Amino acid sequence: MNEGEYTWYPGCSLLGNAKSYDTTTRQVFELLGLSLKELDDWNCCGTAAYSGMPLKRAIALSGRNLALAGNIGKDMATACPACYKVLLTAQNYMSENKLLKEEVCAVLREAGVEYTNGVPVRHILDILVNDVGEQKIKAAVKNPLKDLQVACYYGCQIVRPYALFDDREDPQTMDRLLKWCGATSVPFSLKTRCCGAMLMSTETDVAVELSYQILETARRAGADCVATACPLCLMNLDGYQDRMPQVRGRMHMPVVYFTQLLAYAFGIPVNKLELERNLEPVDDLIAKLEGGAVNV
Amino acid sequence: MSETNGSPEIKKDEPRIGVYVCHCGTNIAGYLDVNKVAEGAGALPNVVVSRDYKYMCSSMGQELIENDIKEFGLNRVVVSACSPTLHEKTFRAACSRAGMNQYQFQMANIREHCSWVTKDYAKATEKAMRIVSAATHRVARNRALEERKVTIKPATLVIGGGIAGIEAALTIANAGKKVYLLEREPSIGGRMAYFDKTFPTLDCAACILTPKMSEAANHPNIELLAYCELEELSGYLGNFKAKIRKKARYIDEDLCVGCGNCWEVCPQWRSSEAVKKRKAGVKVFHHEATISPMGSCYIPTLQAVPKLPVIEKDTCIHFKTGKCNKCLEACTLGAVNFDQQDTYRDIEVGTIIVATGTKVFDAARVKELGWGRLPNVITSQEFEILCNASGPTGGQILMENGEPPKSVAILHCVGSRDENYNVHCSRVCCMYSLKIAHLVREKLDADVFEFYIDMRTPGKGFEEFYHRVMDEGVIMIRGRGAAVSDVPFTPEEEGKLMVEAEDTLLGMRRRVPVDMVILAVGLEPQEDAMDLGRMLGVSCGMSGFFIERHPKLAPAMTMAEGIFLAGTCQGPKDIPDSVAQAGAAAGQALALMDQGEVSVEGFFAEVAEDACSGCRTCVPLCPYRAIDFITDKNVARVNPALCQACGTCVAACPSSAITGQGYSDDQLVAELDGALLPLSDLFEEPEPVGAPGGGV
Repeated sequence: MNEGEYTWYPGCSLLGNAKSYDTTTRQVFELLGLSLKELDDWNCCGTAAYSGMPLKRAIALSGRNLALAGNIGKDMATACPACYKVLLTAQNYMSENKLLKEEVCAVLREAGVEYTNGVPVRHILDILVNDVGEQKIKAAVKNPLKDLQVACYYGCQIVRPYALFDDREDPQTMDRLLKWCGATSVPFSLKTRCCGAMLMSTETDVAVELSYQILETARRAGADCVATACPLCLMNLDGYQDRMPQVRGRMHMPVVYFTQLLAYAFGIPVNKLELERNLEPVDDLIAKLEGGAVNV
Repeated sequence: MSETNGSPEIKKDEPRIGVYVCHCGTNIAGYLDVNKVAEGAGALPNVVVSRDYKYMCSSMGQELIENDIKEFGLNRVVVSACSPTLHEKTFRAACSRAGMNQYQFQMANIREHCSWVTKDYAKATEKAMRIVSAATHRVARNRALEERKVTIKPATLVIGGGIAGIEAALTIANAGKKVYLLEREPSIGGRMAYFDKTFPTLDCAACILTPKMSEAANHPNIELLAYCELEELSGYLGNFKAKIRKKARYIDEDLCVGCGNCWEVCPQWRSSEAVKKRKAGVKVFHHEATISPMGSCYIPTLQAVPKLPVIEKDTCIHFKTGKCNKCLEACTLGAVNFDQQDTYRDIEVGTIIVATGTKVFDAARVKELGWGRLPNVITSQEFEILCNASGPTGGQILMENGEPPKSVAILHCVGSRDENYNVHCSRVCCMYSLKIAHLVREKLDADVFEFYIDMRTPGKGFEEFYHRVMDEGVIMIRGRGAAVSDVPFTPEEEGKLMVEAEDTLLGMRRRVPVDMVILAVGLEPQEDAMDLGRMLGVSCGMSGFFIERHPKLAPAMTMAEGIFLAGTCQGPKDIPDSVAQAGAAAGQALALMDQGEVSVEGFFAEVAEDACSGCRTCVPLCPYRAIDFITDKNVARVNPALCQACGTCVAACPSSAITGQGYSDDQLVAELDGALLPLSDLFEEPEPVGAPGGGV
C-alpha cells in the first residue's frame, strides 16, 4: 500500500448530519501530511437497514465499494463505525463463502465492476494510532488540550464483532490519541455500551435511557465533554438531552467528534470546527478550550 | 495361513523370516483381509513362514512364534499388528526366549496406521500388505544388536518445592536416597503456603503444610536448594548433570537466624501498586502479592523455609543510591551482604522429578470483569491472603475502605473454559469457590452469590461440601459472570459493583449489586514451562502443561527416561491429587534407582572412521555430549554409553560417515522399496484398487 495515501470512503452520514466529522477528518489528515482521496462514485454501504435484506443484495451493495476501492489499491479509510463494520462484514462473508462471492461477483460484473479480493478497510482511529503514531501526532499539536477532561466513547461497532486494532472490551486508541494531544481521558467504563442506535426512532424511551446512562457516567467521571467516533452515537447523545426523563434531570454534556478535538489541537480555529452543528450548546467547552489556549 | 518351506540347506547369514498377521479380534480382521495379507507375505523374498492368528499378543500367539523360530530356524520375525508402543517389547521378549536377537524383530503397525483409519476394505488390505512388505524388506537388513547397561546414580533432583515437590522429596529421602530439592522462590511451600483453609475438610493449610516444609528442610537425605534456578541439564537416564545457579539473597545464610530485624526496618515498598494506594488513602490493599512485610528486604511468609529474608535488588534503595543501609545497621549478626554474587554448582543425579506447578491466570486480561480497574474486585488468590490469619488484615474480610462487605459475588471460570483464554477446566475453582463462600458466610453476615457455569465437584466429600454450602444460605446463580460494572442505573445500585450474567435456569438476565467481587481465576502452565521442557526433553500439550507418557497408565512418567512428573505442572489438580501423583513419581524413580542399573536400547550412532573427515560438525550438535574428537586420529567417536540414538549427528554429517544403528540407510531404503513394490508383486492375483474384497 502507498504510504500515507488512503482512499476515503465518507459514507452517507458524513455528507449529512456528520458533516463536521468529514470536515475535521480531512483537516486532520491534511495537517498530518496524509492524502485522503475520496472514492469516485461510491454508494451507500447499506448500513443496518439493508442487512435485513437477502444476503446477496446486502453484500453486493458493499461489495461494489470494495471492488472500486480494490482497483485503486490503497487502504480504504472510513470514519463511520457502521460503514466500517458493514464493509468488513461484506468482505469477510465473501472470503469465507465462495458460493456467495461468486454470486456477488456475477451481480457486480453485470454492473460493470470487477471484484477481486477486496481491500484493507481501516478505521481512521486505526490509521492515526498505528500508521501515524505518537511521535508525529505529538509533533503536530499546536494547542495542547490542557485541562480538558474527556470521556472517550467508542460505541458498539468499532470493536465488535471485529476487534482488529483495539481491545474488544476496553478500547484505548481514542484515549491514547487525545492524551497525546494533552487531554486527560477520564476513567469511563461504558466506552462500548450501546447508545440505543436506531431504537431512538422506534423505542425512544429505551434509547433515551441508554444514552442517559452513558452521559451520566461521563458526568460523574468529571468529563468536560464526551468524544465519539460515531455519527449515530453523536446524534443520540447530543440530540436527545432535553428528552432525558425529568426524574433524571436535564443533561448538559457537550458531545463532539474526536477529530474535532484533534483538529483544534492541531491549530484549527474553534470557529472552523463546525461545533455550531451540535444541538446542545457547547459554549462551556469552547470557553474551556480557548481558556486553555490562552494559557499556552 | 500359508507356509513355504525354505531350502533344506540354511546358510548362516541368510535371512529366514517369519511373518505373523494379527486379527486383534475384529480390530484388524474386521476392516481388512488378514488371510490375504498373510498369504501375500508368504510370497515375499526370504519369508519362510507366514501365518495369521486371532490374538498374537496372547501367550498362545507368542508360543507360536517361539516354536516357529526353533522349528524353521527363523532369524528374523515380523509381527504385523498394533502400534510398537503397545507390544513391541512383548514380541521382542518372545523372540529372545527362542534364542533370536531381539533387534532382528520388526513390528508392522496395521491397526492404528491402517485398519482403524482406512474405511475401504480393499484399500485397507492393500495398505496393510504394503506395510507388511516394508517391514519384511527392512527386517532382512536388521543387524543383531546388544542392549546396553547403564548404572543409575542413587540421587534425585526434584524441581519445584511446592507440596508435590516436598512430598516426592520426602518419599525418596525416607527410602534412603539422596534428594536435591530445587526451588526458585526464596522459600519452599509453593501455592499452598498462601492458603488459609483447604477444601472440603477445611483443614488449616499452614498446619498441614509447615510441618512438611520443616521436615524436608531438616531431613538428612534432602539438600534444600532454595532461591536457585536450574541453568543447564545434560546427561541421560541414571546420569544427569545439572548446573544450578544460586541466586544472591544479599543475606549471609550461615550468619542469618531469621530474626526479622532487617525486614522490619526496610522503608522501601516492593509493590508500587500498594504505594500508590497508600497515598490515595486506601486502608486495605487487595492487590498485594504476599502475606509478609512489603519491604524490599522481605521474607515470603513468616513460616518460610529456609527462614531467610531476601533483598530485592530492583527496588532496594541501597542498590540505586548506595545509601539507606537500614537493614545493614539493624542486623546485629552482620549477615547483610550487598556484595553477594550468584554462585554456580554442578550436581549429578540418576532421576529427576518435575514439580514446577502452575501460574494463576492474570485476571487483568478479562477487562470486562474490572480487576485492577474497579476497587473491591479481587482474585481468589488475593482473597486467600486477605482471609489468611497472617494476612494484612489479620484474617478479616474487608473492602478497601476498611469496612466489611455486606454482599459478595464469586465468579467462576475466570480464564478457564473460555476459548478466548484457556479451553481447559482448571478443576479446583468450583471447590475453592465454595470454600470461599463458606469462609465469607462464617466470618461475616453477608449475602454470597456464586455465578457458575456448571458446578463441578468430582471428589471425595466434594458434593457433600457443595450441599453444606447451599444449606448455609449461599445463593447459586447458574450463569457465567459476563461483566462487572460500577455504573449505577438505579438508586439502589449507588456505590455498588453490579455483576451481570445470563441466568440459564431462569432464562433471563441478572444484574446483582454487591460490595465485593471475587474472581475464581484458573490455573495455567508456568510461563517458562516450554523452556524447561526443552531442557528436559519433555513436551507440552495443547494447553501448555507437560505431557505424561500415557494419560491413563503412566500419568507420572514422561517420554524422557528417568524424568517424572508430579503435581499441577502436568495439569490442574487439587492438593490430594498432587500429593498422590508425587508419591507415584517418587515410587517410580525409586524403582529405577533400586535396580542400580538398567538396560537401555541397543541403538546408538557409529562413526565409520575411514569416512570421517574430521570436520567436527557433529561434536557440538550432540545434545548428550556423547561425541569425542580423537585428535591424533583426526576423527570423531561416539561414546555408546552416552548416545541416545537421536540421530542428529547422522543427519548432520556431511561425509555420511555416521550410521544410526537400527536406522541405517540400507534398512530405510529397503523399507521404502518394500512399501513401493508393484501390486502384482504383493498379491498373486492383483485386483484393481477399490474393488470389494472378500468377506470377513
